[in-house]
Amino acid sequence: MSSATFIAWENRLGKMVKEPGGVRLGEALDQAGKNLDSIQMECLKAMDGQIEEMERLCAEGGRQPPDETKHEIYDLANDVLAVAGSFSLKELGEAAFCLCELVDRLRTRAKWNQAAVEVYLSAFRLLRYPDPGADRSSVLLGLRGLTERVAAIAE
Amino acid sequence: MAQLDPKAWINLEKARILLLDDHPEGGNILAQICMGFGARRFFRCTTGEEAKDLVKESELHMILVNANLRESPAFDFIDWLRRSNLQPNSFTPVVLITGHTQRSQVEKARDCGANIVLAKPVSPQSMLERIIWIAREKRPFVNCGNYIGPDRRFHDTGPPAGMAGRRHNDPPEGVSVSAESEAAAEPNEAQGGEAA
Repeated sequence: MSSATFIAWENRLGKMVKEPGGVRLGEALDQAGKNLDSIQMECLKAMDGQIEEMERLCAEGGRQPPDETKHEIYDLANDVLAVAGSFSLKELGEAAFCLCELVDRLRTRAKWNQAAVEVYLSAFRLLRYPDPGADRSSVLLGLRGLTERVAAIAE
Repeated sequence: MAQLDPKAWINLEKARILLLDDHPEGGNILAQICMGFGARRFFRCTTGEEAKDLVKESELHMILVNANLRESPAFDFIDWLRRSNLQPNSFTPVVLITGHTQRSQVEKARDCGANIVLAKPVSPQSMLERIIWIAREKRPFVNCGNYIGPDRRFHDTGPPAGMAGRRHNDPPEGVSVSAESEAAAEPNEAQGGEAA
């Protein structure tokens, strides 16, 4: 059994945040929200480009894409996840997470399912401009079920 | 996480913050949120190698790392930081920001030495809660050979039953810490309260 050494350290950040000045937490949250609003358009535009790129990769890759294509789709889905939920597109972010899970499970087993990925990308389009009256939770439920079924077949 | 008091103050004006993120929009989101909190001094890096060079040159107070870097694993950078022995940066609080984590990487994420994990999507509220949490961080660092970083045990429940502890202040073999805590009449911060 190895021994463990414990090291005390100075939390310099902790000292700094208590120094006089700064902002109230309520104001900090408000300002951060305004700052996010100011970059929303450019972030969503970039995210739309990432969805388009996934569509292109999926179409070009066909039924047996190279590993690089699988990795790129995984990374792009992670990028969509990073942006969508920060700008009131929570369901799109969750769908992107599910696509990451699907791609990760497929590529780990050197498998692919183009049709399943295409279903995801169609759902991305639906969730990108959600109809206020639409039942988005059922879309997510269906996507999660799809991931489980496809991953189970791949195993 | 503790509820935030909107009237409490936070001062990040002098904080030197490293943002390690190769996704431009993700990095912008982090920067804009932190600027809203009053932070002004940012260093943005897109690879672990760039970040290593910066850590060698500049004193930092907080590091935000995207776990899903494309070129170089973020976990390797954090592990390097903890083992670098660069004072005081090797102890700098690290927030690991995760999207989807590959199954093969989950253990690395746990063992890399980050102070806290923040799941995407990042919101001002979730980020501020983590910053306040790490500003209150009091856990000692642990070096046990294969791990260097903040003590991963948030609550001191003693060594596993029937085993001698490795800490100098662990109770002798056969003495249960949990038995003592069950007998306690009042909430005990070390056993179940907020870690900060």
